Amino acid sequence: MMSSQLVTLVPALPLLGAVVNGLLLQKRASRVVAGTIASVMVGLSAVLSFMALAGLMGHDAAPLEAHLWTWMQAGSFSADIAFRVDQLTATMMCVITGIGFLIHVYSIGYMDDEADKDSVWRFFSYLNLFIFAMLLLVMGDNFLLMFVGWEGVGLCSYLLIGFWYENDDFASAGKKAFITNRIGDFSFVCGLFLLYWSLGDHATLNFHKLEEVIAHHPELVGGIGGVVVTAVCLLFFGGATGKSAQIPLYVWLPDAMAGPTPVSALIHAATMVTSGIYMICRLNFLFVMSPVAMATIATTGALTAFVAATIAVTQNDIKKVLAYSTVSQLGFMFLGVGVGGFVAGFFHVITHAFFKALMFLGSGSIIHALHHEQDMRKMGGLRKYMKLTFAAFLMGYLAIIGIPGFSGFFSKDEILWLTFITPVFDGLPFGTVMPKVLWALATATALLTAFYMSRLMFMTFWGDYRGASHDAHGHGHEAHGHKPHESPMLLVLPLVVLAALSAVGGLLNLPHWLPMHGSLHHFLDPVFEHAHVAFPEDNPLEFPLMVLTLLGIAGSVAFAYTLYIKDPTRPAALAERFRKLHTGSLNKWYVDELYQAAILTPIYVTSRQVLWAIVDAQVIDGVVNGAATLAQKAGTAHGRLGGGKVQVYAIFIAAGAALLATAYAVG
Amino acid sequence: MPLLSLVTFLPVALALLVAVMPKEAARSGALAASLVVFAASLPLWFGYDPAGAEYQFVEKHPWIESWGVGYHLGLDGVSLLLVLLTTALTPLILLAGFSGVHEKYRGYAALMLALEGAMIGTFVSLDTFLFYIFWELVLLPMYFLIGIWGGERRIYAAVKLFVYTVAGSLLMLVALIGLYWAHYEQTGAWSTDLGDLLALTLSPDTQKWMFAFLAIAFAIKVPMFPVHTWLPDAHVEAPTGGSVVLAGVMLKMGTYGFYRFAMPLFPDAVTAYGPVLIGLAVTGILYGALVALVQDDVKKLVAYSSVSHLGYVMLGLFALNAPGVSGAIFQMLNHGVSTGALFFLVGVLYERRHTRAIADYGGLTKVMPKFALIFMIMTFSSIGLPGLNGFVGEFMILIGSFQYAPMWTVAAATGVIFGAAYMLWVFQRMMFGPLKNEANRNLPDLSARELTYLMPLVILAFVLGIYPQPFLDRINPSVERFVARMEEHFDESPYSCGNACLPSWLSKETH
Repeated sequence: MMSSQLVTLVPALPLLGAVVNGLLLQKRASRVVAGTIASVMVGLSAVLSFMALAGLMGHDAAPLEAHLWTWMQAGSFSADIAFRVDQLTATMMCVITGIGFLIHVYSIGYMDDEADKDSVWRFFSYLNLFIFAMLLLVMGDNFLLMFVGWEGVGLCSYLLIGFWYENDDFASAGKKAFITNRIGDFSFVCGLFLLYWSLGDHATLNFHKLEEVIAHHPELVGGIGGVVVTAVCLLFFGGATGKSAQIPLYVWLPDAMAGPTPVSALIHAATMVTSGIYMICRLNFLFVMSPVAMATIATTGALTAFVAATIAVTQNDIKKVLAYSTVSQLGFMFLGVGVGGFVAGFFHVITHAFFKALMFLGSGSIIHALHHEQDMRKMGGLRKYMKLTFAAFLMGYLAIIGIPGFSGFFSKDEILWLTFITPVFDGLPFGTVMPKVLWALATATALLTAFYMSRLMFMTFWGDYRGASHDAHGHGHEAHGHKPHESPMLLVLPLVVLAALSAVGGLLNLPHWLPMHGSLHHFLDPVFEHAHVAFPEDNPLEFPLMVLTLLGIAGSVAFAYTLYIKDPTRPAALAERFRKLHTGSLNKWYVDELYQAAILTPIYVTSRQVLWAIVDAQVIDGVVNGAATLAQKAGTAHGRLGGGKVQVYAIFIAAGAALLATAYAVG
Repeated sequence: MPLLSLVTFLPVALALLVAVMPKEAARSGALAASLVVFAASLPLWFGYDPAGAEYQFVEKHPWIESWGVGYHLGLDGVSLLLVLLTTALTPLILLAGFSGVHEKYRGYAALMLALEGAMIGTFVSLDTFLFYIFWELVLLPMYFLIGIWGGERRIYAAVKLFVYTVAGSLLMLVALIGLYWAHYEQTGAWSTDLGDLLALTLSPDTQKWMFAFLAIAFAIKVPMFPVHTWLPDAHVEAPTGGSVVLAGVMLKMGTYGFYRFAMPLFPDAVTAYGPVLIGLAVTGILYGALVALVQDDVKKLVAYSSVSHLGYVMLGLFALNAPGVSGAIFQMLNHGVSTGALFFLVGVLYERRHTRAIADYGGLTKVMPKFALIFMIMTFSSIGLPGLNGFVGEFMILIGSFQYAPMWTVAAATGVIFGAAYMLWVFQRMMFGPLKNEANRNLPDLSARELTYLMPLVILAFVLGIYPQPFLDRINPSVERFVARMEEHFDESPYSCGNACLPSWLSKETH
């Protein structure tokens, strides 16, 4: 058991690391020194996090609370700097610090580029700062502190995406991420304002108190199905679409791949992007009150999962494939919570953190070995040269496509099944059809996932290495003539750990038809006590549907095999045959272009051509300058006084004042 | 000891001293003078009792007895913080002027100190006549600071500032005289004392025109849309120190005027005209942000961002509840810190390169890493990143204003998106990317002196963001009195809000 105050150390240690590297040592810290400091801090945090988790295992273990100080207060409004660690929080803390630690260690090996020698301290400082912010996000006991973390991780993401800031495109990607997230944050704070207002005299920003208020006075937010609670939940979900990259705000995440690969693994796969799901789980007692909001979440999740997968199938940049895959998998998580399977969605957060962090780090290992090559068309055959990376990556692959026994299978299958049987939409229009449609969409996505991940595997690890021939064509990279080699141990070790977790992570929450099932469910029960969704039991379709999905997945893998291994000329032929579809997918369905033309350009042009050039410069200043000219003329007419005009005005003031005073005194 | 008189007139006296100092001693002399004033103002912070009387350190003496004019000074929590903001910024401004002001430093410093005294005077006056005098006195040093030490179009900018302000002042004068007359009518005695005037009962119609006149005068100073166009010109042409004092303190005279005079004197007019002002405040937030977005001149961009930020302050004041008004007051401090620092930073670059065009920069992080870090901190402070000062004020304002003006608040909240857009974009264009311009290759990073005047603001940005409560503790009791006075004049909601209220479908009944 751990004392409450010790919990404060969990975020404090990474903050300390960020300060030591970022403010005290700076350039004096070499890669190894800065990386070691940063890793040790996160490692210690991880130890404490697991202690906290262990302490919460007991049957009636109370959440750990630590109140630091009153942050801001005016009238009845107040917010504290205070932490509250319950089962949900503790699990997230372990994921953040555990995977965070592995990625910190990995980064020591990864960031060895000579060009980064003088700025690598910045990298580790930001990385520590990110862990700190992410911990605030999950540990804060109130909305405002969560929001500090929420925007804080956005800041770190901004800094790390633009880590190589001298590249303008990278800097732009960072800015795009931040601003897109701000759109989501706008929605989030509006939801918060509405919620706070609706609670009237019971208004609070504290999660725990809010849960009690809602339990006793559900009428304050309109009761179950109330308009207010629906609006609040939809606005909160709007915030989640930013941070967790869902339609319509997902566009920043693929660009965010500009950051160093460990950043993609930590922030843009394992932790930050799952904040939206965490937030919904945190507020489960609110969301279950609004079937409309739940339906919106589930639908958005399923659609995002599908659309992102359709883009992933044609991308050639290995990180872009993984990025769209992440968007797609996040969609699965939203689908899970949207159909009422909060634990199922959250379980997928955990398994995805394992296998996606693994695959990003694996791709990093490849990119590192190939000297920053990210184009899969220039890879191939790597399983011969990078045996460990390949073996580890394979575990991630088997997990994400959902091969039985691997972690991803259990979490994804539970989401699919709960979607099929969910009772949450029963009262809504199309409420009985919707689960089946969503299930079909999600299953189609699962097949697409199996296809594009197989494509990635085959293009990268099978066939012959295509990088050398690229060099032979005289692009001036003669040094690349040698064959790719396995990465150093610092990179490989974290891969091995994550590979093991991806393989056996399913043990955390085995399905009900296996022994020792539902551990995570039981552990998280206290968190979801007000959000019980009564899923029907013993449906005879459960196994047939599972088998159907598995057959489909096997078919997808086989199809990818025929395309990318048996007959490598066929993809090009297929692309030619479905040219419109192929170009559309390759160009991400032109969503960025649409946003540019429909939103960004109009705002810029209106602001510049109308607001500034006409309203400010002509309309308002026209009046003002007219008046000024008039006054000046009057000044001149009455003779110049010492060449300065200010005296003229001074006299005007006095004269006017006297005149008016008299007028009023008389009147 | 009459502490308030001391803090008000000490800078004026020291200004005269600085003006006649030997040239060589002027810099250190002026800096020392401003530090003495700052030291003299510190007892106000420590001596002020948040739980104590409404006004503290009160000095009340008859002055022009036959007119009913008194010399009446006093300090509440709000004036306290504004006075300290003024006395704290002035030394930084004078220090920054060491390099920026090449000619006539003595005159510059003397005017700056005189300006400081006049501004403090406006914040501590509790007599309308006295207030009006200080209000007018502020204008003169500012006029000369821009007109003499300004840029190429300094005369145009100075005259524009003058025309705008004088127009406002005249309206204010009319309203104050009207009030003066009303006091005589009701009591048979002449008085310009704020306390006496607050005790009057005025018909709603009388309140409306008087409020309107005062509101226009104050709105020009804030500045609110659409009377803001003097500000970008004044900022662009003003020397760095002028811009800092303008943004840091002078604009707050407008919002302070609303808080101290226009709103408490005419509460019925507030409920009548509040929606108009809220509408203009929100328009200003968005308009300022959008126009800032398209600027080519970095100083103009920061100037327009001020229009946007002050819009939040106005919105908060008219929220008429504790979080909204306290947030607004707190935001006045924040804006002084963040925008003050941003103008300093722009000044640092201007001194090195003599250009304010954003396009002339790019990739500066490489050559000026310390500058880049501070610029970044202030950028995020300005866009309200939680953990820094801007967030506290902005959030309190919005959660407060949502209560009576929800749809306007939602519109205002979009400002957080545009704010991030214009600040991050300018930051990227100036600091990130390759170092394109050869002229920037050898720019020196911040000097020790520059760090000395920037660091206090950086530290304040963190302190105000992480531990704002000591400041809020001093603001809150005063704000609660203000809110209580306003609440006497309405029942459920101050505004019959029309389409600014929530749409009818958003009722709490289950559908």
